[in-house]
Amino acid sequence: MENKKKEDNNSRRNFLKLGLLAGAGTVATGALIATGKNSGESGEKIKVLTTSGEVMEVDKNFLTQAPVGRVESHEGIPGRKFVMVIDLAKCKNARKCVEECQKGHNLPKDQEFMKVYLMQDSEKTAPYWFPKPCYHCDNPQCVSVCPVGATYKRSDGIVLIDNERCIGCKFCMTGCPYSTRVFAWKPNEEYDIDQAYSPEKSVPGVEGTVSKCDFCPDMAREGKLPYCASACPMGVIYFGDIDEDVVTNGTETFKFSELIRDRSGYRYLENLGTRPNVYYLPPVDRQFPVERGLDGLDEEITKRFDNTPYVKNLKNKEAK
Amino acid sequence: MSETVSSDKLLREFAPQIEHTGKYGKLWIGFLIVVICYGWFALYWQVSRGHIVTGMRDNVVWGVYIVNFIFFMGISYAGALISGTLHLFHAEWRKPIIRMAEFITIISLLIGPCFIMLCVGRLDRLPNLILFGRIQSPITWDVIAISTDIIGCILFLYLALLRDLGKMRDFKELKVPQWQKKMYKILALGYTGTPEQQLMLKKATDVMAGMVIAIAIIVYSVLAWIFSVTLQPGWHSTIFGPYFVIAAVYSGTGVLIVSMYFFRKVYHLENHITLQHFVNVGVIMLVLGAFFGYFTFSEYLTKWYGSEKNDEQLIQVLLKNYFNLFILSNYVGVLAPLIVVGFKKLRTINNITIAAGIVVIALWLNRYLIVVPTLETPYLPIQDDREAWLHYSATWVEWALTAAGVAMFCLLFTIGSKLIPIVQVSDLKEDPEQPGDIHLM
Amino acid sequence: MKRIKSGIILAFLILTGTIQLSAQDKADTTAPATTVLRFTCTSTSDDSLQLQAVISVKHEEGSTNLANALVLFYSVEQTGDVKIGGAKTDVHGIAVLKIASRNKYERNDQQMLSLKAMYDGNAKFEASESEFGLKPAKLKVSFYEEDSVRYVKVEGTQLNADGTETPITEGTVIVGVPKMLSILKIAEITLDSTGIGTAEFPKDIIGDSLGNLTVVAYIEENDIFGNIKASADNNWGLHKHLISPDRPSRELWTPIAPLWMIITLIIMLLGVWGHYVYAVVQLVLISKSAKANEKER
Repeated sequence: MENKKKEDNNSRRNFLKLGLLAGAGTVATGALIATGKNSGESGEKIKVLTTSGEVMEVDKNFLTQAPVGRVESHEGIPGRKFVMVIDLAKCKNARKCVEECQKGHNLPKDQEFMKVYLMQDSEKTAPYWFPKPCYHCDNPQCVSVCPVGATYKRSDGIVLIDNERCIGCKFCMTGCPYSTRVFAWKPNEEYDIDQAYSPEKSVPGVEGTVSKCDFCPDMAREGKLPYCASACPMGVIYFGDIDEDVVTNGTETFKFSELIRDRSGYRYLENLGTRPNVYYLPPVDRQFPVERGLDGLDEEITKRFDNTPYVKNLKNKEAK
Repeated sequence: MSETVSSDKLLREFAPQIEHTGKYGKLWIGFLIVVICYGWFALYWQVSRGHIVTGMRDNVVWGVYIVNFIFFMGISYAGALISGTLHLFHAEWRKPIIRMAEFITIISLLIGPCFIMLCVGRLDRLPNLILFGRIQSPITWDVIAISTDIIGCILFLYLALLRDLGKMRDFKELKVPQWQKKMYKILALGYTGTPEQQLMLKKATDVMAGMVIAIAIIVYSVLAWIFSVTLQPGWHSTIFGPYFVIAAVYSGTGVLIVSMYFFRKVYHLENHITLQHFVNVGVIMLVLGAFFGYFTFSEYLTKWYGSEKNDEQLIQVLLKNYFNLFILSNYVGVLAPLIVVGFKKLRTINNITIAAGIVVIALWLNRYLIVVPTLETPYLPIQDDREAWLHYSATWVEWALTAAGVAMFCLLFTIGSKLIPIVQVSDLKEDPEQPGDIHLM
Repeated sequence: MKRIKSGIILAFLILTGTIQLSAQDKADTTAPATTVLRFTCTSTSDDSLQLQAVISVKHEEGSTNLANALVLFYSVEQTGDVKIGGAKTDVHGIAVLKIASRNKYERNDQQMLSLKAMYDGNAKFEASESEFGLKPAKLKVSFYEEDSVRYVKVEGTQLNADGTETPITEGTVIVGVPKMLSILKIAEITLDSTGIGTAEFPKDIIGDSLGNLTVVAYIEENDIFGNIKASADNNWGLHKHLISPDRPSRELWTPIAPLWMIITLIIMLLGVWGHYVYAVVQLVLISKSAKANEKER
């Protein structure tokens, strides 16, 4: 039995290691219907197709462990300290990270937890694409200034927002130097939160509260990568445990310290002293020319970059 | 004995203001109520439709509301300074105008915090500020400081009113409703002005005068720290505390002069409030204006000279997109009182009032220029396709509520002047035409 | 009230749901959905074979895993298929069956087992099947230390039909350490003619807080052996040093404020409110003296 477990696939192993119940039981169709809309639903549905041909929208709770509650979500995942590494050399603004993140967190289209900027540090330096999640800083200004403790930092390094405590003063939004946070300016019509809430749950913020990238702790508990990391076709985004010194983008696994050493990893705006947990690998030996990132975008997305010096230059050249 | 006689004489003079409200007065009150109702409608609009109806977006998360908040908190400082300081320095000439200053303090202290609440996304969760309050947050400091300030100022105003309330109670000729008489009686606490009571009152007033000044400095610094503790390029400045304090008193004296002008006109106080009062307060305004100019100059000079990337960006935006406002607030707003009060020939009541009006507007703009352009130039460039996300412009909801705030200020001021004489009645010198020169400022 | 409401909604949902389902039934009878069965076999070091089948159903939006489907496993033999056993898929569409590596099922001339997984299908889903051939084998991972250098040693053995064992003489074994989300590769070992390969064990792998490590070795998608997996534990890892073992309890961002802040606040509040109280006391005294005066009169 012991051996069996060990040879099970790896993610499963860790899954068990986290002390969570693996949702491996077979699903009895009748039983699921019978449970109906009961308490304890997470609201997150998993599509399960049974042999009787029914696509069952099975609540995640019935399949896996109960979602981490509001109180428990204030504690971090034991023994973990999450870190993200973003390889700017590989990013071509495919925006899959943004889209999958929005889908995974049930966000409306005008809210982005992950943003991709077109950066150019100075006039003569080369422009590059710059995906920016929340940095989950170790000295988080946003947490310091929150008057009600609605945003907090956990032992695993993740900075979360309790949407049921947030009063919407937006002080954290001015406190964050990275423009990471978004405010729910209007009621979210597309997604109705109708179940027990937990900050770890991937739901958009209720009207009048602040929300942001959460490093997908719910996914980490299941031994999965955050949506952005697994969605990226280029493998730009690595995620892992800094105490374990390992990061992965799903296909490649690196020692974090070696990756940072060999590729001269850095943190954005280090001088602000916020001590981010997101590292960048500089855009050297790029896999794509920067203009590739402008291809195939919706017009509203391209419009965003119209005011950047790089795009202005491009347009001037075209005009000539 | 002579004091009683003079007070009665004065009360007789002011009685008509308290006893009835004229046609224009009613019209004025009606107008204010209409504006306030418009504000209520805007508030309903905002609450029912969400903050999307304002001009605020993810980058400029604070707009006109927070500007109004700073502004009203700022003018509240006028009372604290004028009555507190002048009381401690025994400046006799203060007496006809301190009531006004104290009213300004209390009323704006009540209105100011309403504006920060308009900024809050979830008003229903305001109790969280107390239930889960974190001492580390400058907002918690603000909650504590402002509530302490309001209570202190009310206490101080009450102490200053006590003698007048006693006079009002004893003044039998006053034709006011019974409830109002009863109110005077209860509030006067049986104060009759015995030497013993006078001593107690003096002790309490002295203590509170000092406290009010101290707290107002704290409140205004805390307000500044909400901005300067963040890492935003335009806000992260060590001089913000004193800068805000000076700006606050400066705008407060401006509002005081303007209200002196109007009450003088409307209530015919020409005998009590004279050019000399305008000049005296004007001189205070001039000194504060010079300080304000100095602070503004050193704030922007250091930013501009150092030209750190983000500071440079901010200054560029200020001088490009906000050039006119920048000049109006930081040049005209400083120079107007310097010129008008500085040259003896220009010192007329009208000129000083106009200069004060300019100061009030300039200081409002000054706060706008501190809040909005900074938020429009964050560290990471704003890359958005939505115009509203790039540039802030206040919507009708915000303007309506701003107007309602001003109207509320005027209304409360008017009502206040209907309950208590706008000029201190007790121990006002019989000869108010020759107030002492300003000697301590 | 809320309960009643949700009850009504639930009843409505069930009703409409059933109608929709019956409609779907009709549609499905006309065209059963295509299913895809992926079948893999892995030799594990406890001398067993793990047969795993994943069934997914293709549709316009992509594919969905099929739950609760019975997968039957067969050995494909010259005389016909011999049934090995069956397993139902779980919610992730995975069915797993474990059998002994040393078994009696027929092997081909390369000594390979030929296995098949089958889903019979029904009115709504097409049947599907997939075959997988492999020669049972096993890997053994061990560790040794020589001149204070640590090595990991991998031994590959093929299990012949007659019960004998011969070394795996070719093939590359990947050795790694499972981490939170993936396996960190530490070595790629080529087996020599005795079926043994070694590699130096890196010094800087972080284990748990006691330095314990699990090391896995595997050969994947080999033409003959299919997949082979093995694992072993050692305590050669660096002790996992939690960067933030104890969170600083009094930082700006922690729930409790720094001490100096609390002290300053208390001093200021006491100072100010003390004066307020003084002023109020004076007012009370005034009120008292007024009453005393009145009595005198």
